[in-house]
Amino acid sequence: MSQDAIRELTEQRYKYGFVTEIEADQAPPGLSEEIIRLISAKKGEPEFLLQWRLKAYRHWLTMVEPRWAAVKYAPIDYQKIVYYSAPRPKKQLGSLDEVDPELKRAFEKLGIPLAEQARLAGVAVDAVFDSVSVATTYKGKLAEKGIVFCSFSEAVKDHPDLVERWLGSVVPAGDNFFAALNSAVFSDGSFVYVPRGVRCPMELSTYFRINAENTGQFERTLIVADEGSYVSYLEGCTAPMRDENQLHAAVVELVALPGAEIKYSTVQNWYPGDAEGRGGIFNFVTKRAKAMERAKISWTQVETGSAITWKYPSCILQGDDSVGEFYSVALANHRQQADTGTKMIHIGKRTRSTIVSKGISAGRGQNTYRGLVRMQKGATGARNHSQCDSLLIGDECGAHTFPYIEVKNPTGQVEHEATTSRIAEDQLFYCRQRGLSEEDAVSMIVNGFARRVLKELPMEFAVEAQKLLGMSLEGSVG
Amino acid sequence: MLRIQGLKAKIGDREILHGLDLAVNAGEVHAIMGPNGSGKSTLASVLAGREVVEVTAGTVTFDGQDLLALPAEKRAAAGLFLGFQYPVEIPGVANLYFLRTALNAVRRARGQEELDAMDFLALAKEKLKLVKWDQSFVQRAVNEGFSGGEKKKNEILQMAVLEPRLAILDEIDSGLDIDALKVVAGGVNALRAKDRATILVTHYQRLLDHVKPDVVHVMAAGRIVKSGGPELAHELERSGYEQLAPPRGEARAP
Amino acid sequence: MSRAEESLARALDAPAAGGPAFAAALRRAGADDFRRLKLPTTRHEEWRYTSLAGLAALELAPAAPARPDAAAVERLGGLPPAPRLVLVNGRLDAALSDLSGLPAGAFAGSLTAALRERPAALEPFLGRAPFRDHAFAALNAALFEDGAVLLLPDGAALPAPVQLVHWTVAGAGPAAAFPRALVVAGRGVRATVVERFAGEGSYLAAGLTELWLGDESRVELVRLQREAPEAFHVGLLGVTQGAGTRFAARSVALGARVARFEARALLDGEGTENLVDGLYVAGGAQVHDHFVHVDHARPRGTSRELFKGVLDGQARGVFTGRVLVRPGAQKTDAGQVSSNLLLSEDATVDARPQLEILADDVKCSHGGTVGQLDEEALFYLRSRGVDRSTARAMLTWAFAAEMVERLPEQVRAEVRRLVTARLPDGGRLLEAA
Repeated sequence: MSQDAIRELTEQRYKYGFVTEIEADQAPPGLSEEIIRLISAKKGEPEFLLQWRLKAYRHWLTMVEPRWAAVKYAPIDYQKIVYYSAPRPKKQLGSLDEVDPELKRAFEKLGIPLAEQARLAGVAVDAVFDSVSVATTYKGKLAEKGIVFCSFSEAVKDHPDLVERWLGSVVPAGDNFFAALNSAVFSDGSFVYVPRGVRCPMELSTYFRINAENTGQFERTLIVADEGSYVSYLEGCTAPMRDENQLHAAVVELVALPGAEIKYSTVQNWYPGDAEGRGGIFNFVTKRAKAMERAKISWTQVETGSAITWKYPSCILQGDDSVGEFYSVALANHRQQADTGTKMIHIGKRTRSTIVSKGISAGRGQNTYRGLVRMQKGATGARNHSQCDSLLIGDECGAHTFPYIEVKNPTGQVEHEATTSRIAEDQLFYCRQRGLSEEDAVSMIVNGFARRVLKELPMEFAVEAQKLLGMSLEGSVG
Repeated sequence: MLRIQGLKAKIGDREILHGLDLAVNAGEVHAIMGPNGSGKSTLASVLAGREVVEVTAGTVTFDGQDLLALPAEKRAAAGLFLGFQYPVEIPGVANLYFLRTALNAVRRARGQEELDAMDFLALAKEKLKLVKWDQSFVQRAVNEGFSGGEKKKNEILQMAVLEPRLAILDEIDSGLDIDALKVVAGGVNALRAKDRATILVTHYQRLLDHVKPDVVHVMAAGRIVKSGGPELAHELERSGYEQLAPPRGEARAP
Repeated sequence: MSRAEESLARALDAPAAGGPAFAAALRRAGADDFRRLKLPTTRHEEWRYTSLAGLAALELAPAAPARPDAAAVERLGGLPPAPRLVLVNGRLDAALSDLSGLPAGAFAGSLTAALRERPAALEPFLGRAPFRDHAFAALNAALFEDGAVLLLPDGAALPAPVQLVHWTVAGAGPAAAFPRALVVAGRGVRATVVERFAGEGSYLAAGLTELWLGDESRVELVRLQREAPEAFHVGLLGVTQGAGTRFAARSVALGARVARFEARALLDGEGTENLVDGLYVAGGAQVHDHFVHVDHARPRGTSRELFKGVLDGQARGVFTGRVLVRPGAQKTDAGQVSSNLLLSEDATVDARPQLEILADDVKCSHGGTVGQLDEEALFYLRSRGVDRSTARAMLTWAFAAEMVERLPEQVRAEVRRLVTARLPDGGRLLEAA
């Protein structure tokens, strides 16, 4: 590929860079027990939750920031971060019409199918703006089926028993440095409960967006699918352009009770920083699911944004015959660093897992797959198949693959394959001979490379993801 | 339509074309024959704009414009099509999607309106008949897992969809059984028209039983050493390339 | 500090004297490094699956000079054909060695003697293998008593493999031996080297073999590890390859309580080829750990690793394969495969195939499988009248045989015998005869 074409591809600018002017209700920067008590009080939380937060905070104080990931960044000053910031509501919102027009315009720029768009697209949206949920649609229709889909704060108020029972049951408060931080200070997030035997009739969707400067974003998502139920959940993330790095440390917990299925899809397009590596989101996320007997968890992610991505959506396959899947596309361009992968912990008998990871590195991007497949002693007849492929565009980027395989049961079957390649000269020429420009050809080949993952996404998301992949590398996909 | 004068080209340090002349008019089918290593495929690559081949002398005009000044995709848009000797696999990209993207790129360049998915599907269905395929072939990824014959048929399908002014088919007949050969020949014949031309690059005469050329050229050591009517192909089939006198003492065909 | 570290520290305080300045500097740096690094624990990422707690608990004394009698030689596996260098407790035993068959111009002999007699020939190579911040490389550098040296001039072609025999014979208490070997091949050399490790009693054998390949050389190294059941074996192999070279290491690991084979290759010239193969057969409570690091520093290098493990009892197999492709090392083609067969309920495997790629025009892949014997195949054999134990042995051997067949023919029959003898019910195999 010619140097010019590579330059053109890698010099695309971030298209979602705009800042919304909304008055924020902010806590002073810094972290202490007082701040945690303030957050808890602001949200009118019950005592158990305050105690849970404080316990997590005290544990966090004893921990050190992990440094094993293949990512480099300047030290984060946790005392400079604002841990609470809420859009100031003028009054209690009764309908979508009352949503701040600034906010609605911001969502429109993002192309979020809110309100009428949501109904047409068949998508229920719980939009998180900075840290507090401001608009939830479709609650009524879901309520008919007994499905709870609301902000985490609302869940704390309306379903404290469910929250108390499941919060921290998959990702304990002191699980890791960033999860402990999240547990101490999480501001809001989403909560889903699908009752026994209910199939959620629509895709549930939340758009996360980081807005105010220097506000860390600490969402907490908890999804509980009761026995035999099904839910598909979409998470999309975009952040405006900022010069200073912003920390994002979210926790997502999924609980799939016997026979339940949860499909969790993410398209992450947070601001990656500029071509010189200035700015951009630090995305340190803990995502984990627990699957009981015959339950199924499917993680699908398309990660094109963030300056640094550190996330390993994992499955604890606790119950016999449970299934875990991980489909991932991660793209690192400019000076982006992505260290992502999954853990599949096989505990139950005949548990099965599939890992398909597609890493794309361009510019000076560094892309790392890091994964663990563990077959515990009792996981008789468990199986795993992993496929990790890397595609390199340009000669200044890097692709790294670190799979860990631990087998403690002789009947376990683990297969692992990994390949690294670049876009072949003859593939490009073939496309150009058929009339495609070089950048369209690259985009097409990249999408072809990622196809096995993209087809796991719900339709609306797949189209968006395909566009994002193209845009992250070039203009648009034909 | 196509005028090549004094063309010299090299790959790396090795000169492969040593001053080649060729003229192809609209409505004509030309066959270029010659032994392995005579430069046939290099010629096809130069015409399609493959960067690894470097032109060191000579001119090539296509409909009066300087072909060598255009990048590969502009040549495609101008109506030049290369049928690859070894069609390339592009994993994960559906054939149909690839074809539509290519056709719309070419149409856009020609100032024509792009075809939407429905119109394109109708067009593709029509063209599929030509290669006797059902739709399952175009849902598969481009050439991925295709047999040699299927890949060649796919080239013909792409040609039929893109409707080029000049098609250069590089050993389109290699590795084909007789049924596939007939399908490929049928595709080439279907595209014959007053305002189009075809260059068949081939080692063997057998394709020419099914596609009757207007002119046959013999290539050896980087030049065209002999031209004639269809009878020249038969003559070559009988006596081989050995008897062809090289134009000068030093340029002996291998 | 653990008992082992304390006892080793005492040995470090009494460094060996004599030899040229660069050797003394090497020993000093080794002693300093080990004092700083200490024995690795499972908290070290590179040792996370292999615990040396059993070693750390030992009171180790440097292995004293020893002289195995004929019966002991037999127990240690006998003497291989000449040319051979036999080292006992890290020191060359001239009486057991036999250099007949070595071509003219080649030198084989004691490291101590070579340091005395031809220091200039050793200085550019000794202690320069790519092991940095490595506790065992440091320990060996500080405490090696002697070693084997093989210098092969430009164009040398060895008609038969050179055998380097490393025996460790412990005394009353646990001993520590530091076998060392240095092989320097000039340009265009053709050579096969067979390293054999065996011993008696309770000991640590912490060996380091350094190999240098001049441009266009082809060298094959076979490594046959049959250490005593109570032994801890840490074998380091450092290879630096010049342009156009081909190197193949073929490791067969059968013995020791805990064995770690660590190969680090630096592909330091264009168009090199590097192959590292390994077969390990472990049972009881054995731990067999294999660690391969291939550093593609120049363009057009090819590397392949194929490791196969057969694990029975409570044995643990560990494979770490790391391929690094440096910026500019274009047209690199690297592949690694690790396959493991688990024969029992309690055997475990941990595998880490790793790719670190910093150039774009490369082809890299790794693959791995862990599984047990195919029940279908077992049933098929049994339905043809083969009893279950024999069928299991046949299929297990079928899994391992590929690795044996890749060995140079001079050692193939011997290894086939040794491997089948180690397989459960291997005695039932016809091939064993």
